Amino acid sequence: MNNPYEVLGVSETATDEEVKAAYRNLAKKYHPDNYTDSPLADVAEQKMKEINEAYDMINQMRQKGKGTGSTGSSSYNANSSSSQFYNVRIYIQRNASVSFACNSFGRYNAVTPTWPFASIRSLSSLTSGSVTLWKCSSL
Amino acid sequence: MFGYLQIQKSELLVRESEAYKAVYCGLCRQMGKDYSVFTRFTLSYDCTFYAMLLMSLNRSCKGFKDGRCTCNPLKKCKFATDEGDAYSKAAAFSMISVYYKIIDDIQDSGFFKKLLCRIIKPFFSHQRKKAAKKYPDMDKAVADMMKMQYDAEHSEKPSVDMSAHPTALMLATVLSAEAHDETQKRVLYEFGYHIGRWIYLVDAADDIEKDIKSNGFNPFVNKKTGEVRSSDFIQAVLNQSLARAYDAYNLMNFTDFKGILDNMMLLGFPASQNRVTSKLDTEVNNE
Repeated sequence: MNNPYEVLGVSETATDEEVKAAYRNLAKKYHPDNYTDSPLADVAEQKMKEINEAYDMINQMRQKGKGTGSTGSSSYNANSSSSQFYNVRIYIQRNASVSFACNSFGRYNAVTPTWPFASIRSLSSLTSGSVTLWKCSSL
Repeated sequence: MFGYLQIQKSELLVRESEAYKAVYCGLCRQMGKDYSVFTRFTLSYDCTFYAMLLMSLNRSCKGFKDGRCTCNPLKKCKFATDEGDAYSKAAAFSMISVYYKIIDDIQDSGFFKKLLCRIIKPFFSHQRKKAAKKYPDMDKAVADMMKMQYDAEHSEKPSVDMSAHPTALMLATVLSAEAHDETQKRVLYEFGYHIGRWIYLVDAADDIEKDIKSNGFNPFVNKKTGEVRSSDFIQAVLNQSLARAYDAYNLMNFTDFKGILDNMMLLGFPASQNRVTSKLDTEVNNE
């Protein structure tokens, strides 16, 4: 896949709001309703798919970067191990509410995660001092 | 200069306006170089748009160089340089379309215009032959269009779509020949078709009054009853063509001259259309 930032026409340092605004503008332009009776409907659909993939990839990279505390490195390889959790992460972003509270040791504690998945087969909990982390094991 | 594919100069950035001028100065120079000094008088906005489109598609404009206007040596100009054949094709297209326009005017015009056309025809016939030798496909596309146009206009019940189809098809054929792959060919075909259709119809809307007086063909005027289509209908038909052209335009990834091309598509062409259709509203009110 091409650089997702180039596909959306934003710089890599753009804020989430700027990325979202760029995605919305492009979605309005290439929406299938604009090409209903057009012989170029399939070309527009391909373009829309590319834009959706680019937007999802940027969100995924940024969420990954926020979660690990590191700035997300550019990885456009759809076959990397992170793609195994891709669908799960997207579902989490859209449905789960997670709040983190900083405990007295300055660590982060997951307080009320909600995991409405039947597909998650096992959860392992790791405790380290006063930090409790919920980690989703491999599916 | 004449033509409907114009910029909206007030909304262009200064550097974009200078770049646009550099393209038409470059085209003017090429026309003088390839054909004759006098052919420069046929320079049009439409061919400038064609040259700019080709340069943007092929990314063949590598810069601008300083020079002096060939018509007014006291005036300094910038000329956009083209590494490809955008200027050459646009100049050839200009010669070929002017020649066939002269042929059409000889058939359809009044006595004095017919006489003038007959006088200048040999000159443009020679220029057209030079252009056709370089780009025979382009000449064939325009020649076929003229024949189809004649048949459409002299048919029993020429509809608006049928009348506009030959010009639309001609421009679709000419533009799609510049494609680099199959998808781009389809997109350029669709873009050229609707732009060609729009040009024909906006020219027809502009000539309604003249065609009624001279009893010439006009797709918006009923041949038998003389009834003129409402301005709302004309506006709707033109908007549809422009919208479809814009949808196709969005599917092309322009980088060079993008600001100017966007200005033309979103502001310049609608402004040209509004100039013509507002005249129609004035004529209706006067009646």
